[in-house]
Amino acid sequence: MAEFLQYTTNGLIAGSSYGLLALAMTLIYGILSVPNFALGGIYALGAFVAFYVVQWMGPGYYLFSIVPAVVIGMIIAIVTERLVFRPLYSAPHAAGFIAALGLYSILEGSWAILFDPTWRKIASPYNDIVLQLGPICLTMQRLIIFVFCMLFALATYYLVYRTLTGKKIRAASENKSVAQLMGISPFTTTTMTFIVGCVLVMIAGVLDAPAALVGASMGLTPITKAFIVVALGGLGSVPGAIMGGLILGLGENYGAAYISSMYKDLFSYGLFIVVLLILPNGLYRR
Amino acid sequence: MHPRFIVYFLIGLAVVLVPVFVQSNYWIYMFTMVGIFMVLVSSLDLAYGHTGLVSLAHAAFFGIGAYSSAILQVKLAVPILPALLLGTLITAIIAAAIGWPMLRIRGPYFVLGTLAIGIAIEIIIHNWDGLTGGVSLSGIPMFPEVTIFGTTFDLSSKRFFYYLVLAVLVVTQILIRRIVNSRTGRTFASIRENEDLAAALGMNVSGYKLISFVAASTIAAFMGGIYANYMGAIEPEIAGSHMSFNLLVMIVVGGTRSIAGAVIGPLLLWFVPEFLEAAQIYRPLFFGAILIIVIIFMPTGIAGKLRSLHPRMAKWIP
Amino acid sequence: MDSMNSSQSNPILRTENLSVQFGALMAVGQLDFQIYPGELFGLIGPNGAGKTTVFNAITSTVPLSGGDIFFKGKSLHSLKPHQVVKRGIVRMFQSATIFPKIPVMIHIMNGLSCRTKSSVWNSIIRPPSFHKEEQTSRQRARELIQFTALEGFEDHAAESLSWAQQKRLMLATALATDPKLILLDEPFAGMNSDEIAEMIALIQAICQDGMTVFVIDHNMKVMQRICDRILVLNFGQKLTEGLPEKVAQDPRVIEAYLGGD
Repeated sequence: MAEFLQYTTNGLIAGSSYGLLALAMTLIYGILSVPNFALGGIYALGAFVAFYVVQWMGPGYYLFSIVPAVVIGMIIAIVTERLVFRPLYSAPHAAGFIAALGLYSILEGSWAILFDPTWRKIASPYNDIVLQLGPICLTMQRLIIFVFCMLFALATYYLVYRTLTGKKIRAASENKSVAQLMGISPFTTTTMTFIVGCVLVMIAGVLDAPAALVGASMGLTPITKAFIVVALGGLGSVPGAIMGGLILGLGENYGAAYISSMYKDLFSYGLFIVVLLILPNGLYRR
Repeated sequence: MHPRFIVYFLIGLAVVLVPVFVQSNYWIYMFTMVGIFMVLVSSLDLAYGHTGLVSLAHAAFFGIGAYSSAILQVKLAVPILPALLLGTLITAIIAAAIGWPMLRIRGPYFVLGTLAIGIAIEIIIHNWDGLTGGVSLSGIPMFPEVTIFGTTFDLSSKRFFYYLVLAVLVVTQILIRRIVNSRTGRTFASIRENEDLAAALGMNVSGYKLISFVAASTIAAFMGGIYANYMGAIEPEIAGSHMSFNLLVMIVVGGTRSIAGAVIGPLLLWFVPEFLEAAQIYRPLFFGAILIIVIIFMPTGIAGKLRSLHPRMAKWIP
Repeated sequence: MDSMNSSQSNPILRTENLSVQFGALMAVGQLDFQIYPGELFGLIGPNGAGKTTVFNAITSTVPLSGGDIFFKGKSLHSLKPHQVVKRGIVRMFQSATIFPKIPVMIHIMNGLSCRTKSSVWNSIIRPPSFHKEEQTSRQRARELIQFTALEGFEDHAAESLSWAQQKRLMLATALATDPKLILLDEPFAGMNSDEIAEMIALIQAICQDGMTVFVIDHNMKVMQRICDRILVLNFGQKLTEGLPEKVAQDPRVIEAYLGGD
């Protein structure tokens, strides 16, 4: 039983991170009708920001690195939306997706050049503090991951469903032309969605960095999993993304514990195929 | 007869005579490898350019073809030709099995599926080291010497492989052309242009998507089997998503639905960087940038752009 | 053009208690009607009455929530859309549903796909039967091009045609599937009076050849003129059904429509 609780905890922690990534992707998908794969490169950038802040200013400033991460996230969001995605709004969706892949490649390649392709670890002070809550054992870092991810996810949920900005985002993602007629400029709403998405992903990168290895290609697997979560939870669905992320995290950890740990990463792919087999007519479209 | 055929003939002649005049093994290797990429890109074009299936799993089938043939030869001592054919058949069956659930579904789900497949297969090959040798599988035999009518041919020579790859490339072009200019090809085009209308006209859309997918994968698998014997040793990376991504970039940049495109892509994106000995580390950045520039400013690729410059040009660019 | 064909023969299409529900919305409810072979049958109703849903139900594009549809006596239940076409029902969409970059000749040949059988292997090996079939297909496509007055445009991309020409191309492509029943969704939309006259002539011509035509349109005058019988739908329910003059004068129809056209 104790082990089960441990696996559940691990699962929820990993899942909260997936949920945050999936949330970013689903928001952008809702507005772009294209899965923005480049978010994987932005995730890695978040981790690098944390790494260098810690390296230049000391481990005590680890949490502070969220601030520069947010700022850089906003800049990247504006630049990529304007330069890469805006020219493709009227092109077929495949073009946007291919551009997103190209953008991911540019980002991953750039990080490898700028920061060296070697993998490294971040010294976060929270990594060393181990908490014991009953039968469950976890590092402070992991607790922070969970808490912050859930906080930001809920904050985004609140933003999207309760504020005017959020309503505009949702309206534009439901029907661009109608939204335009109602005076909601599709361009600023898109830029705003991009900003929210990229910032979330940068934060996820900062949070996950100490618990993982930091490297130029660290975002590939997480973003693919996020894509799967979004596909299964409903393209554009905010609750689907958050819940789906948690479920995936749990599933991976239970699978690794009770079945095989070597193929843990394959769990999400296997799940995807299995779901497709059960619903061969395709998952419902938004 | 249009003058362009004279040009094609001359180019063909030059290509055939390369091993006669070029002594350096390095160049023979470069030309052979770029030929292999051209076969892979042409086969990807069948699924992507003609049928509209964005597949990030193409290299995975190249890899599975290579590994199946290699494992049969290395572990089970199957002779080369049966191993090649059997390996291709096995991969075709795997492609059908994987494709069948995935092709019922549209757009982003399908691409995601191929991406997941691509990543998963590389991981599986890497981890299942009992079967695949893990990090690398070596000891793949060379082609033997063959004596026909008193003349001995050394089939292990790199020059022989050059001609073999060239033959596969030519046959692939003929195959693809024949498929495209037929009822099957018209169905592919219909699916690409308007999937809903295709279904409304009675076409079995998911069935034909599967045919396109499996045909493309089978050609890639066959090339993979030959590649395995050519190299003598293979690694899981040949099946990976980075490789698949590179192939996709080649077809998008070169130009879809065009022989010229399938030639330009690998020349520009493999031959040139290799020749300039551009460091591997700069390539993803370069590829990504050129991909974005092409998809925004010339969505039909370089070949497509050249064709559209002038109606006469269209005839010259096959 | 009157009910000479009607009551004697069996209906070619018959619905029984047809219902289609989307979540809480009953798009079509307990609909019963019949169409007889060779008829030009019309369907009218205000926007949102469920007309396109009826077409979607027949072509198996949406699942039925209740009831059944019978074509030539056999149920269409659980068929996939492409199987419905094979049975002999084809549908023309109201919006420009074409293969944009495909030239007219090949566009129409695409319609023939469901009636021809060359496989992948045939295209690779190219036995004589392959060439024979290609020839027959081209021939049939030429006939349809002539029929829909698209001569001279064989090599033009579908998207380069005018709206009226595209509509005729859609019709030719649909006819290529060799249907027994053709569903026309607003064939006159967006046309001027000359183009409408051309379209009417085409539709009447195919009716003369024995085709059964099921039309949806808003243009009351045209519908009255060409249809043998008309079904009126409102809020997914049958309002009335019968001869055009009778239907046009039905007070319920006038009320629901407030003038039409």
